[in-house]
Amino acid sequence: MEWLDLLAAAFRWAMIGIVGYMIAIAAVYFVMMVLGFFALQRYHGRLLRSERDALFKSPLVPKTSIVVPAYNESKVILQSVKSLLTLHYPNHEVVVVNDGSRDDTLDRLVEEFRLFRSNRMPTGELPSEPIRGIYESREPIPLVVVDKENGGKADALNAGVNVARGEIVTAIDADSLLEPDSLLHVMKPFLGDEDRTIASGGIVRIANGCRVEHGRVVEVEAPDSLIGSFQAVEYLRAFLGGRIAYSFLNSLLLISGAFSVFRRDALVEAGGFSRETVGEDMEMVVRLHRLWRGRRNGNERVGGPPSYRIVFVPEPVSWTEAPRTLRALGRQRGRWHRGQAESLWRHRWMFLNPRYGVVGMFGFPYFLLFETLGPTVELAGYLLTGVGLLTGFVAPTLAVLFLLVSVGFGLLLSLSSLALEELTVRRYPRARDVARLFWAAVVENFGLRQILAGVRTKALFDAIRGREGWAETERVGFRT
Amino acid sequence: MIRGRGGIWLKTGVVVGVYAVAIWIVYRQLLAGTVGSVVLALVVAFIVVQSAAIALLLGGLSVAKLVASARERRMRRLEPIVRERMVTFLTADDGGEVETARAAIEQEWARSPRVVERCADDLLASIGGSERSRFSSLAEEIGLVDRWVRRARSAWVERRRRAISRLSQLDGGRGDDVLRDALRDPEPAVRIEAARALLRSEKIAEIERVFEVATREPLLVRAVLVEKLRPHAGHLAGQAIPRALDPSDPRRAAVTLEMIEAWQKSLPVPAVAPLLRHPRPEIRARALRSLPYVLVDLDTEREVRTGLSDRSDAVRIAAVRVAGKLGLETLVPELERLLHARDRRIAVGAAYALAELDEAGREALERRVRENHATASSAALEALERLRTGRLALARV
Repeated sequence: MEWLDLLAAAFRWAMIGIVGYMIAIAAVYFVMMVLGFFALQRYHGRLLRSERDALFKSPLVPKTSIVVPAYNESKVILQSVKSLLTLHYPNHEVVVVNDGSRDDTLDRLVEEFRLFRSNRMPTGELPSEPIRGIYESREPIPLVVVDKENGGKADALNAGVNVARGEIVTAIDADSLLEPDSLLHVMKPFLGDEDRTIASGGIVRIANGCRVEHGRVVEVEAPDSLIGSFQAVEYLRAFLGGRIAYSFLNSLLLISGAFSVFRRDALVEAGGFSRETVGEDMEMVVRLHRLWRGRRNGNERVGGPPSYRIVFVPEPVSWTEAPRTLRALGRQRGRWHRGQAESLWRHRWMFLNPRYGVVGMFGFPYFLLFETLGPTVELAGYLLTGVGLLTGFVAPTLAVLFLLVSVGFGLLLSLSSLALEELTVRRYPRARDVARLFWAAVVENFGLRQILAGVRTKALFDAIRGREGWAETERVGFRT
Repeated sequence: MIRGRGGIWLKTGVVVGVYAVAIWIVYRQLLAGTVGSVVLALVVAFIVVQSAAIALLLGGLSVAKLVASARERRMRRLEPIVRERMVTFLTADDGGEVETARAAIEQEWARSPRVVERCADDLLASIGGSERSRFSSLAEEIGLVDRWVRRARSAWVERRRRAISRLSQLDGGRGDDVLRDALRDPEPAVRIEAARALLRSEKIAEIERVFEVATREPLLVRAVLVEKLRPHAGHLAGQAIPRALDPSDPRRAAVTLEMIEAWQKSLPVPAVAPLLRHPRPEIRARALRSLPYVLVDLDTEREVRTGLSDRSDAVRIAAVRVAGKLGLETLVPELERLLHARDRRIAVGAAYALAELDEAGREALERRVRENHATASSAALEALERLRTGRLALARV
């Protein structure tokens, strides 16, 4: 039975490889979390009231255009636009792009804000589907609504950038609610290092469970459903752990499309958002790195310190409505994962390429090897463990080791990120909410995480096969 | 103490090192003999250590919260008493009563410096004149000033900033040296606090010093200080601004021109003229944009006309804005020509400028609306609509 021995050996070595891989992921995550914690401690970005007031009156603060792509967002669009119009920022305009919605998104905007069809001329020439009309308000409010043929989120963003008149462009999701000072906070890197900062992004949090009044989150509560709480923990893990550390290393490959800010000339120079991927936010950031890291100029040697910054700001908060059902969550995560895989594949030449500095040598490989392939390797580990235990090919010790590394380490990382939140940002005031999140951080490791690993694996194969499409998100609206 | 990025790496390294040692100790002491596989034992050791760390962290947080709330309760209890003594010290006519209040404050300072500090901070913000002077002397005598001077050099940014803010409230220039040093602090928030404090002194030398510093600061600091410096613009135009407009320091010159434009005050600054011919386009553009606000002996119309045909888009955009702002009707033909510019921002800017030029500009726009050139007619149409609806400022490029 030589072949059986061979199979058993193959099983064992595969399991050892998977366990080693999972330990490597956990070790990198852990170091990034510690690094993120100290970087967060060093962050002194909170603006004082007097500074905020001075900036609010200052004529030097650059004009910002907030571009909001909207497709069938009838339920949330009015709250969202009202919240954006009343942001504490001295010089901003809101550009809503109705991306061929089939519901009454445009009608509601026209009625609520007394819009008329205007003759505003797009000044940009980024590729996008034809614009059917541009609307502005009869009231003296800086609101522009672009009605265009459906073309997807990236296409809508490009149309918005074309119409925008600000030096800075902020892209946000229609279901996002910004905190009043969030724009000023997320602009701080542009103000603090105006020559080098080309993009920045802020923390996104889950609004499910929170009470919303007039487009503002007035009462912060943890989501009451397990799915919602799980996502709240996941967002904390991603933002407080990973992104702060990546930003510190200037190798941030992803700024959430739910709240991202770009210098308009950098966006235009990069050719606008890619319409060929569902992960346009990540693709844009990777492309910016590729362009700016790869460029030679008098002050920069190739592979040397970069002349640009892409910054994550741990302060500003954008609240977003998270999927409420497992099905919707699976669709969203599948789409994100496919977008991530597509973005990395398009820029695959950056992988371990010293020309791109720490982005090519660390950020890119990390995202590819761990973030993109991680769920598939983990899923393979579960399958091999199950089959191996049944057939006796895998020793119980190795199976226990795998489960400890995958589930145990995941659990600890989630709990650590929650502890980090409590230690630093502390947005959940009540002990009940923190306890609920702790419970979700424990439970997510027993079922939900494995289901999502399956969804992501499928998304990876979809990306490899070149499957296209954008699953629609179901909106319920905010709790008022 | 290592600050900045090096400090973060060092602390991360230390924590990871401590973890590694802790895992090794747990492995050697508890698991080496009981768990067969070394890797499994090490993984279990990591889980034990990390669980202990989380428990410690949360336990520590709870204790810190309890301590903070107890301290807050104590402060709330003591604050009214200390405040009352401070008010007595400032208002009592009887010398004996003043001395008693002073002794009580000193006693409280020895027991609970935080309470006295907080009360002094509140009080200094609400008093002036001789009262502030007397209280500043008291603060110096009991050691409050020394404490704030020490804290102005702390490693913690917020502590430094707060110390600077408190020192700035003292009378008699007690903290001025520290404030001047703080203008070189690595943290913008501290520099802003120091600059604002020095501006409050209204001393000409300090105002010029803050302006000098501001011209070398990032936009964040400039944006905060520009409004504070506005009342002093006339004085600064004498020597400080011309010095800052040195063509050999283009960045500083650009920043100064930006401030002149932001102040929107008429200032006699002949030093702007040579900058209109500067080799760097951003300086030429800035110089053009400041033209409506500077009193300078040159043919403005000719300069704007030159700007309208500049090679740089940024300079042409600046020139069309200034043409509209200054109402230069003789430039209508040039502006009409720019409605056909390849860069649509220039076309829209030219259309807006024409809209600001009364009758001649309006007629030109109406002519161009009917023209068979997409950019020119669209830009003209937009500007006419803005003019009709009184919304020219809303979407300016």
